Amino acid sequence: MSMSGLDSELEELYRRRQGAFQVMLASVTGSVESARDVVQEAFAQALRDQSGFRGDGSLEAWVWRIAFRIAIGSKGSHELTVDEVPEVAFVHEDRDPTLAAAVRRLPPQRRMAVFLRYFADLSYAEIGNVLGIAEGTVAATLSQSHAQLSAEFSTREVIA
Amino acid sequence: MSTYNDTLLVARFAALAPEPRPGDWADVLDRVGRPRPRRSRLPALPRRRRLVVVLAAIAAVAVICATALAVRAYFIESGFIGIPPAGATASTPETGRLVLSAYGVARRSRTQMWLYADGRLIWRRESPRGSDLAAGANRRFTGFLEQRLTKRGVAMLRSEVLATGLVGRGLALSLDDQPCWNGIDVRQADRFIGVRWHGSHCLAEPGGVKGTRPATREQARALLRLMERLAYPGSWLPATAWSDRRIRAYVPAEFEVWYGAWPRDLGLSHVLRPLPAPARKLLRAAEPRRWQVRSGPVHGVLVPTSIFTFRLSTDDARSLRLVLSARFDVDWATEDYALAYRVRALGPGGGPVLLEFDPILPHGEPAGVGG
Repeated sequence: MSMSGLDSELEELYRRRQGAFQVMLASVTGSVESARDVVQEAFAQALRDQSGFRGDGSLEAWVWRIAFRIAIGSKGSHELTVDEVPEVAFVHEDRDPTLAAAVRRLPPQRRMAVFLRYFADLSYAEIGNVLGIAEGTVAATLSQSHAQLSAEFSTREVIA
Repeated sequence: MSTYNDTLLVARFAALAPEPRPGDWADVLDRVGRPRPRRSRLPALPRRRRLVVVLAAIAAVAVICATALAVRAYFIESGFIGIPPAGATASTPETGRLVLSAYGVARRSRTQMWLYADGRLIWRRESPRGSDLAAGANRRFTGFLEQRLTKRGVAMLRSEVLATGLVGRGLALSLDDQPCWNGIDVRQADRFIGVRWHGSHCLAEPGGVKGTRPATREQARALLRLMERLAYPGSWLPATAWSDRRIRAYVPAEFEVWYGAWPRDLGLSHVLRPLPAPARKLLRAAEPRRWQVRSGPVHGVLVPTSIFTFRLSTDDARSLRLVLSARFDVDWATEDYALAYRVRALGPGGGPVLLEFDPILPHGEPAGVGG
């Protein structure tokens, strides 16, 4: 198998971001251990199928999509679609039950956008890339999520 | 709406994040059937010796596994700017007895090094012109890196300094083509003796160096040679001087947050006001101290200012970074060397006030990332 230019970029991405991948994917798989395995397999698949990266988005967004497909068990080679947005939940809900409950009440796509923003630390453009939606839609989705969370918090707790 | 803000959400998510496990790129390569990098190529052994080697390897694996069950080590193999990744193994032991420190220029790069009695050699190197810095955080700065010397290695470096005869005489010398501040200190019993040298051009600057005398040609040559040997010990120390030559990032257990400069006599509440509530809470609990200094120059003069410092564990520093990154920009002028945020408040010179993260070294002092 020949080495390509993407090898070093993937390795650099892995070294820089594998921790964030694990944290985010644990929200899908339910544990850090299984999330780590997904991350390992996602990067392995990215190394194997480099022709699948068409360069129309960032390399990181492409790896995220592979990782989510593995995490939700989708074997097809098609892109992740809005219909396929995985269910995400906090691994340690007990640390902040109020936030966990409020986030649980968000619709799946809003919840996913919130997790990608605050766990994966992705920009609006990258979130759009991962979910296959426009950046403006991401902004609107997050704005709606914030409004819903704000309403939830104001009725349940007062934060200094 | 008044009870919600984005910054708070960042902090609350951070508190809910699970700790990631150490990464393993070699495992990714294995899954693809690619060879691991730097795989050792051992010559073929006779069958009986192979059996001995295999048994020894099994024993070694058993010991390593037992150790790994107790402590999962996650070492970072290159420098970084700011806060280490979550889960990174801190340098051990947390504290250390400083034996030698040096700050100066060698091979056109500015190096600072600290040597401890336990053999730890911590160093950083800046190359403003940009160069290939091995294991560096970026092209200009290595970040803080660590290697390990044997007792012999520690003694050799210390002897190298003492043998010049330049330390312990209160020398403050001026040299051409040198930065303003350079120095070497070496421990002798319970005190440090040292030598200072300064760039000749720095003597006339506001707050500049007083009481220096020009270095003789021999003194200049000896100082520059010594700095070169301290900055690049790998080029001359024998193998027996090293217990671990591998370069790893120095991961501190604590950080100092340096927040200034403010016009004189501002109280803690005032300077914390521009920060989000979670940041205020973290900093109030982090041993706040106020320092009165003269900084600048602003319009050619040094102005009185206050600086606040705070001590935080590395985990708290990580939480603080998360909160600040949602509200403030990283300071572009220092981002190659340190993590600093531009807080929207007016400092004495009319610019923003910087809030900077500075790693604490094993002898308990901040490294002084600003140099």
